[in-house]
Amino acid sequence: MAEIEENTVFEINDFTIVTDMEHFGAAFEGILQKYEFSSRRPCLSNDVKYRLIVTDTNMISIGENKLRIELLQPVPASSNPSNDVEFVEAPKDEIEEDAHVIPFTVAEEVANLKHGFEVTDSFLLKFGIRECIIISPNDSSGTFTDENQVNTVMGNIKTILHSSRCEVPVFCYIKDQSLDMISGYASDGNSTYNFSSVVLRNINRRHCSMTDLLYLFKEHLGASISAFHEEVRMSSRFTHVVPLKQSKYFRNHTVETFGLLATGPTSSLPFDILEIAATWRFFRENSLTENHSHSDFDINYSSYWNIKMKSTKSSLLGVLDEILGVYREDTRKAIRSDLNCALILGKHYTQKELPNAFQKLTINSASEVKIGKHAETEDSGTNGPMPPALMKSWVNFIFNEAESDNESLAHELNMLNAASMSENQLSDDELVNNVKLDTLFNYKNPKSANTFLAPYKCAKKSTVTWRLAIALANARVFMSDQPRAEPQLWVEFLLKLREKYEKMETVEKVYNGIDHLQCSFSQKMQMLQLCIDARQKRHRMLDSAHSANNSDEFFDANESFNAETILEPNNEGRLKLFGLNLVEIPDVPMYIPVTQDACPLTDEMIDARNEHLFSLDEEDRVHLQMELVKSDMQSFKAANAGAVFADFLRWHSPKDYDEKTNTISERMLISNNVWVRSWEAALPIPVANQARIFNDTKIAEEILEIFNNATLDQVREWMKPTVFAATLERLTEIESSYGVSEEKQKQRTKTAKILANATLNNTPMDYNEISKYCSQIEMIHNMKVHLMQLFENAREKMHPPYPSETDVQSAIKQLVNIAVHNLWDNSTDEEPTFVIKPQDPIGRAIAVIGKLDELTEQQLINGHRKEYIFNWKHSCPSTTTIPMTHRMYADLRSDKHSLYFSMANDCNFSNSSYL
Amino acid sequence: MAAGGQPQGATPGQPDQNFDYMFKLLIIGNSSVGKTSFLFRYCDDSFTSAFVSTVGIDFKVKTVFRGDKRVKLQIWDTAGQERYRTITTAYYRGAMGFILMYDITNEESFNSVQDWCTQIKTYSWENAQVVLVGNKCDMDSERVVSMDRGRQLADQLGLEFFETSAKENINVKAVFEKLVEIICDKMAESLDKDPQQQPKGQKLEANPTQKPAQQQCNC
Repeated sequence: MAEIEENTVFEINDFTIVTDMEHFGAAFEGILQKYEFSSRRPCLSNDVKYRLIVTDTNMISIGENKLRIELLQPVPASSNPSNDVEFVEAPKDEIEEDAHVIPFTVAEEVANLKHGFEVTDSFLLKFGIRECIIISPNDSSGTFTDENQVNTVMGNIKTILHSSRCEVPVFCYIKDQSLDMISGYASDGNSTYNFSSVVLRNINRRHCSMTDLLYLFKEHLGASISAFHEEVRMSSRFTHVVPLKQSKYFRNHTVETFGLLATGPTSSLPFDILEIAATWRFFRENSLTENHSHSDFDINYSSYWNIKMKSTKSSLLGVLDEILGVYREDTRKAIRSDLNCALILGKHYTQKELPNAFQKLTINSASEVKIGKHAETEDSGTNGPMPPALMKSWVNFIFNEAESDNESLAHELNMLNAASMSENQLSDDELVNNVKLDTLFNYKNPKSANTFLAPYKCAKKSTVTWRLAIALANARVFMSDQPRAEPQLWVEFLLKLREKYEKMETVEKVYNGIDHLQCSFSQKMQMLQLCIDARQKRHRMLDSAHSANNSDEFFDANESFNAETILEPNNEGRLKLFGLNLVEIPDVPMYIPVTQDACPLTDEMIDARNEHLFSLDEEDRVHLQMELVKSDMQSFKAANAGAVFADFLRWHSPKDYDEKTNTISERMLISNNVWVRSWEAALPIPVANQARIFNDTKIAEEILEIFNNATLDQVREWMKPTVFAATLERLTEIESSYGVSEEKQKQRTKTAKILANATLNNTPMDYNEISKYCSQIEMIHNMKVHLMQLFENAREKMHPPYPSETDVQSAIKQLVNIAVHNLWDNSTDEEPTFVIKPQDPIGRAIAVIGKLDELTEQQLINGHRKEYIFNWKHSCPSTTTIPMTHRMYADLRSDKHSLYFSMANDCNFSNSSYL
Repeated sequence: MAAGGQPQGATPGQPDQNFDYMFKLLIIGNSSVGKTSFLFRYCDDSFTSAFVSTVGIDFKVKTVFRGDKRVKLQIWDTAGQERYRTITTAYYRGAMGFILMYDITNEESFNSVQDWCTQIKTYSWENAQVVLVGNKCDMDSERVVSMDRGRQLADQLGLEFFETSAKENINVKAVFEKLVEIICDKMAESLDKDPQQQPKGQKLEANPTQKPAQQQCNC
């Protein structure tokens, strides 16, 4: 025990206490060593535009607080490969290397007049430097609460900078980083730069113009104004936010665009703000004046403008978003799922009971007994919110029935237009403008090829389903304030559908059976048509069978009969001659019987049938499918009295009977096989008397019942694939009004493929993606159209020379790019800029658009944002010191005034430099 | 979900967890070229000189391995008679592979190949893979369609080609293996090209959404 105790006693022989600050210092020094920042830093070339990005991040703690140390370094902004990323030595150094020492990079950078408003990087703009280390708290708990704390840290850092001979500036944020209060320091051992910022909510009014700020700058340096001093060089940028007067837009419904999927902005035009940042490049003190009462900064005479178009609205989405938006999960949840469309209409629609003879005999209560002639309403349809004439036009459009009364439709549409404009009185000019815009938004390309880019599983164009999808979507958009318009149209469609079904009129285009490449709703419509066709055929057959029964005359075979001749209706159900005689009665000709059609199957019916097939064993599966064969056998026997199984095979499955050897194939001779058994059991019954295989009445009623019971959400789901395809088609059409880049074309083909997949597999994710794509493309289109219109109008009001078509196109493209970047581009890429000269034709056009001539002098003085850069090569603290450049950047906004100083000193007054 | 990709099995609505992919294949061709025999040879490894002529449509299921993935093949056998054409073509949708069969001892069945191809183009989804098969190659003495003619037609139509015998079990397995291989290749290709696009043979993890009950018309 004693031994162990002796061993556990340890001796302290290091009595040094390492403070938190020393820990921090050591760690910071370590970082500087890692970067090898212990000598002159290279000067960067001015030819390349740089932007500052964080290239490395380190964490250091002071006590419990964690600090983030970020290295901000320049990378070329343009991705031009010819721009070398390598640092380029200033040419001066190469030439005069022996004569002079390499300059202090920070001093060179601050003095660089190129670091004006051309730079897009905010840090570079504020302090004029392109490389630095930034210290900021890692989280809000660890902030430096006041300047003293920062001074303590900075004091420590200064020591480290000097001891490690690091010339890279180091900045430290005070309080929260977003407040932008910062303090910085750089030194090459001889001269120093102190960086600081002042951020105020409200600057004293005496510091709000250039003259005032110039005084403030000089005062800050402690310099008096003297004629011997070099002039201050200044640069300024005034940002004016000009509201565009014309921003109203009303959808103008016309007969021509009635059946066209609606496009364009929902209510207002995309842009309502023109933002002009007018820059005056470095000019000398006194060459331009700005004080409280006068400003030389006339926007029309600035060096250049940076133009942006903006919107004050939170959403710029267009009509297509409204159309496809109903398929978003949140919108879908908002629809009641317990009401069918008829019930949604409520009092606007009284469902008529189906005429049923028995119902009239049963009266449940005395109140139902009506004495005398009671007025039964003639109108069987809905009443409101859609006007009857408009509704009739919609239904006619859906069923592609010629519009008998275009005038009344035009009248109704004008009423609709007037209703939407009633609250706003538009001048004639505005009305004309609105119509012009509308023509552009609802661009109709008569030559539009309109071919699908991919095989969508949706209704084909020119089908009733396609037009129904468009009509329902348009009804929603045209009457967006009337949510019942869409279900009303559906109900009216159903009423007409039922009417047409009863009258056996065409309800859908069908070629050669159900088209399985179309969507489920379209297949149902096709099925209805097939039911109508089957009913017509059945009626014809029954009529003729009836007439055949009535005639007592024997049917004599015509001498000129051949196998191609279709026979008159007959009791035996014979269709035509087969061309051969019966096997066992060689002098009797064999007839092909009239046969029943197999029941057409929609995808859903096949799925249900397959499910049933899967549950059966092999024999039952065969029996399930024998219906058609049995029917054929019955018909065949009826048409050919005395025929044998071999005769049936000769017609039905010729490969199973060898005419040369008069033998039945081996497989048909297998004893007790299903074919033979069925043949033996079959009675001679012509088709007219057989049970129906394709029970058209039952199927049609079931489909109509499903339609009647559909909720609004269900109806929209049925329309989904078609309405998406129609939207993509419409986008192609409206974009054909101007050229589409190859890249966009590729994007569209890709989207089309996604839609093909979405319609095939009903994948919500794919639909969402397309929905987003369509909204964006439409929004871009709306922007383009709006800008085109603005330039067009400007051209009418401006004096020549006019901007060329190419200039206008390029301006529109750049303005749209900026807007698109600000809306969707989440990348760290910088905002693109659109720079023009005010006196160029395009600049004058912009001036007309923004009505800049109407700006008052006061408006010019109080620009929405004023920025100034002051550069002064000045000897400080005394006239005998080496002149160095001082810089101030002032950023005056309505709610925040910030000043950023980069102040030089040719003497190093830091005590730490001695250490 | 694609009908072809949706697992449909003994327990409807419940995805069968015993496979990774499911391919729906169709065997088509003129009457009595040997479609049913071919399918029985592949699935049951049995042969009878005559099967009862197929009525309408029938199916068999076989699970094969491709790498470490289990692929369930749902193979539909169709009636060749003209009378069933409307029923059988309805089954083309969602089929990922077709075995187009003719009988090397029957000129007419070979002449119909072009028509069958047109049918595939009309009724199936694009990207469906087709293998041309000349069956009954054991009956060389009765051969009327030479192998060269078969191959030439396959080249012309851009199809893979095999001569097979269900009776002698020649190339039967190879045909199915080839078909599964080209379907897989096509799937991988479309995935490479566009990761957004799902393969038609849905992976089960994708959790296929069932259609709402009211959408199914059981008429």
